[in-house]
Amino acid sequence: MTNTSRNAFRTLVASSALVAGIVAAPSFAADSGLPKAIKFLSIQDLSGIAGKPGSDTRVGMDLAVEEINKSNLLGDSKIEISYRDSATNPGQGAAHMNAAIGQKNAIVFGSVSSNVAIAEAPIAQRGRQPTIFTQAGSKGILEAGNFIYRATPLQADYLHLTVDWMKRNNIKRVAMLTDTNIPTINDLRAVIKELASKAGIAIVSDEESTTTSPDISTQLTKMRESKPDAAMPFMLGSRNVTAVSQLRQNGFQGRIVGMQGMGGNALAPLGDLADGVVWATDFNPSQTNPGAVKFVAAYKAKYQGQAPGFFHAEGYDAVLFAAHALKKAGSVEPDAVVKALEAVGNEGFEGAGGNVKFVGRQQQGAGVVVEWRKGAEVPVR
Amino acid sequence: MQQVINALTLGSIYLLFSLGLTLAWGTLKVLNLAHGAVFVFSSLIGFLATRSIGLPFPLVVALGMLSGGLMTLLIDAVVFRRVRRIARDELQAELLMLAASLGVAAMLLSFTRNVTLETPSFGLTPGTFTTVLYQIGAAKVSNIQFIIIGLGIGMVVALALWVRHSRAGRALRALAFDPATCGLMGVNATALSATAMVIAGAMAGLAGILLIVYLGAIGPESGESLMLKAFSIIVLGGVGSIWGALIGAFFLAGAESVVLNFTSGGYVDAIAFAMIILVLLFRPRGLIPVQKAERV
Repeated sequence: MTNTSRNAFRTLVASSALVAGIVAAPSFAADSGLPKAIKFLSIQDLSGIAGKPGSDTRVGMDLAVEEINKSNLLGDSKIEISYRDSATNPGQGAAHMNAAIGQKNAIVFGSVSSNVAIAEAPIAQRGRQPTIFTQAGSKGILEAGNFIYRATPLQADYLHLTVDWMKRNNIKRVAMLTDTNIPTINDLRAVIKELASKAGIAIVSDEESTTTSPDISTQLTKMRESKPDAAMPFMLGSRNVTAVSQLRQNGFQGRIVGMQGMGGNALAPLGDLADGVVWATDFNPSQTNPGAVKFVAAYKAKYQGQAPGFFHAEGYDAVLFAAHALKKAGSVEPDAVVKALEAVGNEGFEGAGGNVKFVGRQQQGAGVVVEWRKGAEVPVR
Repeated sequence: MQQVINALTLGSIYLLFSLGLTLAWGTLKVLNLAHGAVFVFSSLIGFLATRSIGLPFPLVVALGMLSGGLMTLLIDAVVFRRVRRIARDELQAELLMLAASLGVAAMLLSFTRNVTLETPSFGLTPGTFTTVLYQIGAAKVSNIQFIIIGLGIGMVVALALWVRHSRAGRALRALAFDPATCGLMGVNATALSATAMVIAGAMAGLAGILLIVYLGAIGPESGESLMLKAFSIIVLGGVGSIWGALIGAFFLAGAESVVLNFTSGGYVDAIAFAMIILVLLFRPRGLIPVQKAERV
């Protein structure tokens, strides 16, 4: 190659790089300091055992993005959200999170299942990627560091409502059944036992089950034979249905008190047989705070009058939280975003769950006791 | 008494699930890891049928068995038969079918998960089956428990009689022993293996429908935990032995019930499987070892 052609080649490479740089550089909205297109990435359990919670969360997120873009909350800037399926698989979730680092996403939303979230959180923290999780209540997620937030109130924080309800309903003897394979459920079992002890409620039977055992009739028989006023199955998914179904079909007349896993329409296969089952949750569509009313109306308008569940609400509020923080930050730089998340979390904002506030990067929440009645969950007054 | 009834019910569910698996494994040397996924698929068909057209329970059972049988036949025709043709030898064929069935299981599972995203716990529409409770001594026994126990034992007897006394059953036993000679003697191995696979799938379908009624609902992953139990039952009873499956199923269910009765339940799998390991240490070919010349 001659000197002339070498120089021409260098000029060509330099010009190409300049053009590519100009093309790739984000264009900024005139007023807010934010880019015109703000990238959100949600690494979500869209399939696998947590596929339903993950998919519901996605629906709530999409609704929030639509509303925010329509309302010009972020001025001329528009949110563009994309999804990756972690398939309730820690390895897959971690791989997506690794790939997300450096992609200049303003905010990443992490998986709903704890075992996947635990794999994702340290990667996000190391990559200084502001990340918001919903659900995923296990220890080790928030502890990853200051770039990690959890936009779901901890069940342990409002489980006292269940015990208060039992006390008001003169329940003095309780039989428990816990799925010991699920760390969060094990934690909640300990919380319930402590709260019940303080409230003078006796645990007369304390049975365990593992996720690999399809049948729980032996444990349920032992629970019934202990003659409790209430049975408390703390299980996941279809096993909650089995517990309620077999207790009722075998003539158990007492109350059945569960945890949030009873929600999200899990009891629908039982119809009226599940009437009277009670549990505490962080959202109910009949809430009257302005944020909930607005969210429920928007959801019903979009989904043929169906009422949203708590996973939808949590996804919706997580995106609102991110948008309010970006508005405050006026930037998508990670340090500025994290600072703004902290400020918005302290001040609070109106969301589906009420006045959403954070303490120590953990969303706080009052919770509500609901009861399954004629195919729907209704708040207990 | 109540716990004995519970154990008999659980054992019968294990039995119905394991029968098809041991039949295919013992006669055709197919360890079909998609058996659990077929079981869930059949339950899903039952769920969809009752939700959309409100079939009565006997027809739901028939539909579950039909869908399980046809799905297994399809898997055999599209995957296993081809694998048998291309494999160099019997060992390679067994390994390839094992791997292929794992792939089929993953595909069926993904399908079920996607169909049930809105209802991850699916059961038959309320009203399809009315549970009636009977007081027998100190125990309460429901009609579905009677049905499960009756069908579990009835199917074992029927399958054992069919294998021992029918022309097709005898040919199947011969096929398990020496497929090459069977071919020379005019036995249609393809049709026979298809029959065995249909029966295996129908058993999975029957177990699926009965379990969905008994438990109220199941999830897409419910077949996976039963596969682990069935595998243990078959090894415990002796691979390919129908009566061995009966003993293995009730042994495992009994062991689990005893453990659950005397502990809080968290160690049920560990203790029950430890007992199985002990049995296998002393009887490595299972409780009812099958002679090579008579594998079913």
